[in-house]
Amino acid sequence: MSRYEWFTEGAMAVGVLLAAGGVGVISDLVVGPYALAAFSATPRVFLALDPVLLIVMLSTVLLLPFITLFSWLRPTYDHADFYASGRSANVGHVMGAALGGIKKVTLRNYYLDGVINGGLLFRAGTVTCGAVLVAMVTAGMVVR
Amino acid sequence: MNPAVYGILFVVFAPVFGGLLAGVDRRVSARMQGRVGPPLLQPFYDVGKLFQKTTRQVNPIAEPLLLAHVGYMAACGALLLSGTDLIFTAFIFALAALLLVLAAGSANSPFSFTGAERELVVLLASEPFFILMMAAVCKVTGVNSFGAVLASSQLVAVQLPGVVLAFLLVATIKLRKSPFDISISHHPHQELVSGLTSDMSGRMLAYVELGHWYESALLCAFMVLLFNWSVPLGIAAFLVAYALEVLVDNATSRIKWQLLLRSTWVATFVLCGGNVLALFLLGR
Repeated sequence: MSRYEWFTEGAMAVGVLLAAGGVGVISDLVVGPYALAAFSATPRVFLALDPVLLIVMLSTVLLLPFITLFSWLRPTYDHADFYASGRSANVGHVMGAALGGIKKVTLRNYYLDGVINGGLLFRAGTVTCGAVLVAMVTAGMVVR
Repeated sequence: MNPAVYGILFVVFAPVFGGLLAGVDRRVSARMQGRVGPPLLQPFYDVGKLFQKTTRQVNPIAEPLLLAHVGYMAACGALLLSGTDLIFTAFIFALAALLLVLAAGSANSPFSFTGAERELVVLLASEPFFILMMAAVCKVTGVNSFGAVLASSQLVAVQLPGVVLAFLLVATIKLRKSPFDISISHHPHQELVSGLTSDMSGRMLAYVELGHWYESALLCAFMVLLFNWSVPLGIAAFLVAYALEVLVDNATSRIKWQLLLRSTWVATFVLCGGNVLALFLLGR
């Protein structure tokens, strides 16, 4: 990696950490007062800054980098081949089949195909969100 | 008592509760099938044995992910009982379950991958309910923490009967009971549905079991939220519900994942959403 990539990745990581840590503060200082001003009946208890939330969110953001670091610091482990119907298979997903043949295993994401029409949902969602945004901007201008 | 103490007590005693529940489950299931069944403490012996066995790993990240799964499941219960926001704990609950999916999905095995995808479907089916349930409890009581709900004068289950019914359905999924045990099953003869754990051995399997015990205790705490008259009543309601789950587990065969997703979403939106909508319309 070049030093520019290191800088970009590092800046992004710091930004994510700041965002995770700042969500509670932004909620307390910006969103909370606005919500209370706009919706006076909102219970104040829902808008209070909770330090536990900050700690949990930061630890959640740091979890995956920590796991990566952990596995990097521990490169030797009791390695085993993964399980493929009782036969060993290599990382190219080639496994020994019956009668000494070789079978290529393909992993395919087929779930939700029959439940949600992804293409239709994407088009309908884009049109709906666009219409809502235009309506909100128009309504805001009219109110002004 | 300081609410943080309740959180610490959960971390210590939830596995004991979950393990005993699993022991009773195995004995009762055995009696229903005409067998004597294992001793009550057999789940503890099994987990102890798993910790002693040699662990072989297919990659270096599955074990830390499983440790994080157990840690977040325990933290979720601790946060819930120590008074953190209810909806936030529902998100931590989902995150803990997601870490199990990541651990299984990190292996190259087609069986692990299938199990991980099925567990994702289970998450997709059950998590909307838990978030809606927590929002409904907050709406009814006007407070957002465990202790405050218990202290509330509003009786949650009376105002949210639809949520209680939907909880019974979703609990069947989270407790890995038939007909909704599509990603992992406690029945030992079903290799494919245990795809989630097919590439785990030794202490890694013990972590999965520990995580499930915490999950069972968390579901019990959720039931206490619904029956907020008293904690013993909530625990008794959970035990009755669990007995029903065991009966259903032994009396039904597994359904396909499409039916699981549709039935759970319909139950969530009709029973849970309808209940909340009715509360709004009645002006409560």
